[in-house]
Amino acid sequence: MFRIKNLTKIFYGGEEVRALNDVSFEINDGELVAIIGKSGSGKSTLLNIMGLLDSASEGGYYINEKKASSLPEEEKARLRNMEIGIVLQDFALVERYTVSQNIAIPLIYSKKNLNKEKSIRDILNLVGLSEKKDTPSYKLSGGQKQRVAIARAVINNPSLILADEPTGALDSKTSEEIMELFLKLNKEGKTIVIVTHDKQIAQKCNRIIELSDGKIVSDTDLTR
Amino acid sequence: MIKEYIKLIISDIKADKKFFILLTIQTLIAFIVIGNIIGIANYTNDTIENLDSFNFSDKYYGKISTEIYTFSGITVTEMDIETERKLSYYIAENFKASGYSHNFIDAGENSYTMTFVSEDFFNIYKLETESGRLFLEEEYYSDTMENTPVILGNYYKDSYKVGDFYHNKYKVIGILKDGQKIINLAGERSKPVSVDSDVLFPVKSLSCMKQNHYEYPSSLIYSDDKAQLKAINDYAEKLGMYPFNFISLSGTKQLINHMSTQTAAPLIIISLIIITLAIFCLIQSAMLFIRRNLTELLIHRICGAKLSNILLRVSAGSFIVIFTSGVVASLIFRTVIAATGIAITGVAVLLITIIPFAVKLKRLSILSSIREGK
Ligand SMILES: Nc1ncnc2c1ncn2[C@@H]1O[C@H](COP(=O)(O)OP(=O)(O)OP(=O)(O)O)[C@@H](O)[C@H]1O
Ligand SMILES: [Mg+2]
Repeated sequence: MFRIKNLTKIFYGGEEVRALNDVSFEINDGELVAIIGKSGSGKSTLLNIMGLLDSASEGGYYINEKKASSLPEEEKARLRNMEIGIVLQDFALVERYTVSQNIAIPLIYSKKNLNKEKSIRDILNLVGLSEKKDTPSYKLSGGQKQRVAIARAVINNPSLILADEPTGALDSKTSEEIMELFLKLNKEGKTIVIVTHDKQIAQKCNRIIELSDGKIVSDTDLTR
Repeated sequence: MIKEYIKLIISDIKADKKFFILLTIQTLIAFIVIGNIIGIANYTNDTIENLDSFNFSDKYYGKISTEIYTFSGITVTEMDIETERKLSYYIAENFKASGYSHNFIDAGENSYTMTFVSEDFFNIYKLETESGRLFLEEEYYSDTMENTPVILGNYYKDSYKVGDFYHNKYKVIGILKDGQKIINLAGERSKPVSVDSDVLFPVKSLSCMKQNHYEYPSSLIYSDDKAQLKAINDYAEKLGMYPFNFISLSGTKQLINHMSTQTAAPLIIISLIIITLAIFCLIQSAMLFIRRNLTELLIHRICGAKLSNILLRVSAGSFIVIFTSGVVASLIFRTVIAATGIAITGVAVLLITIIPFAVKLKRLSILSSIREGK
């Protein structure tokens, strides 16, 4: 279970930006949540904190009742590696790596005993990039990069998947396919949080949280 | 997946192969200089320790030559036997001469060396026999070579027994214990010398020594008056020999310390310079590596690399450079003490190189460069 409690994130430097302002909510295991909101409303900031890439200024983020800010650095690295898969808005690929090298990064640090070759092959099939396996990442289109980022986020079989605009650069057909993948992973029991602009994508989720100016303006359960 | 991680490190190093090879050579040179410094320090220590084991009075002086002259292109470091003998008689007449003197007896195939020793010789060097006895008081200063007792070094213990005659002339009265040493006070060349193969004779009366042309034992001079010692210098000069200096045990120790400091000091400075440069180069290379690969490193962090993984990767080059040159240098010296010194220096250099990056990487937020990189 993931709990955000009175979380505030302030960016300093020049003028102070309150990217998140006293946000509280809970996400239960197995949920499929969409986070929507206008540009600059704090969606990525929230996702980065949930992905243990950034820390809260005030309030807390709890993973299974453990406060993230008090976890030792080692444990955070372990969680990032094995329990949380994150797709960043700008993909965060190593440009000079090939597609399979990029996808394999989490495996380098993983203690899960996965068959590397097979995992990569399966995941490439899943995101439809089998042909591009040895292509350097800088030669990929935006949509292909996005799919590499998704493949990398899920390769280590994490229990929480965080995706920042995972379909932003994709045409509607590919978006649909990616969404099918997320739905499938969700059925397997994974908790998934998707930041999106796409209403259709959001509608496929169980729940929609809407942010505006760093605050939650609505939290809708679609299963009821 | 340690294999993958090692592959990554190897590819990093391969990318800068030439640079790392040069750095390894540089560090190797520094380690070799350090090994030499340790060698000098160790040698000095050993010599001083050896000197300390002969704890005899500071009133004994050894003679050291202060000048070496060249004659017809030949460097003369030893006096000729004749002159040396004369000087020994002069010393015996005017001072209390002690110690030993080697006399080579040329008898064709049966040539041998007689080592005459003074009455206090065995006390000074605390020598003991394995069988038989030492010379008695009345056996010193006799006027004749008849019935001369000898004490043999341990080397002879299988050929002679107490009671046998050495060269059919000299009655063996004792065999020395194995591994005993004496020391020549000769400045920085002072070294313990084994007596295992010596044949010791008691010093005869001066007239007997003169008659037989034996050099009087005067490797040590007992004196408490430095002005007196100057008289020997003057006499040596009269004999046409280069001047002497006289040195006591503590003086020898001082001299050896002084000499080794003088030799080691420039080496220490050189090694410090090379090591400082090497540290700069190692830090610089790690810095460049980080700058070039920051985005990659942080993406690895996002995917679960620990700080220690990153730090290890950043410092792997330095580690391999230091490790390789350290191992090579240790193999050159092949002594535990040199290897230990090199290892300690290596670890220190590595820490100095890595700590700034540990601090820097720890402060760096994971998302920072990805933003900066954009
Ligand atoms: N590192 C930073 N330093 C300063 N301000 C930041 C930083 N990151 C984000 N912000 C600010 O915080 C606010 C929220 O940013 P965030 O990236 O979370 O928005 P978003 O909802 O993801 O927007 P978009 O839909 O455009 O991706 C913005 O005003 C942004 O300028
Ligand atoms: Mg965003």
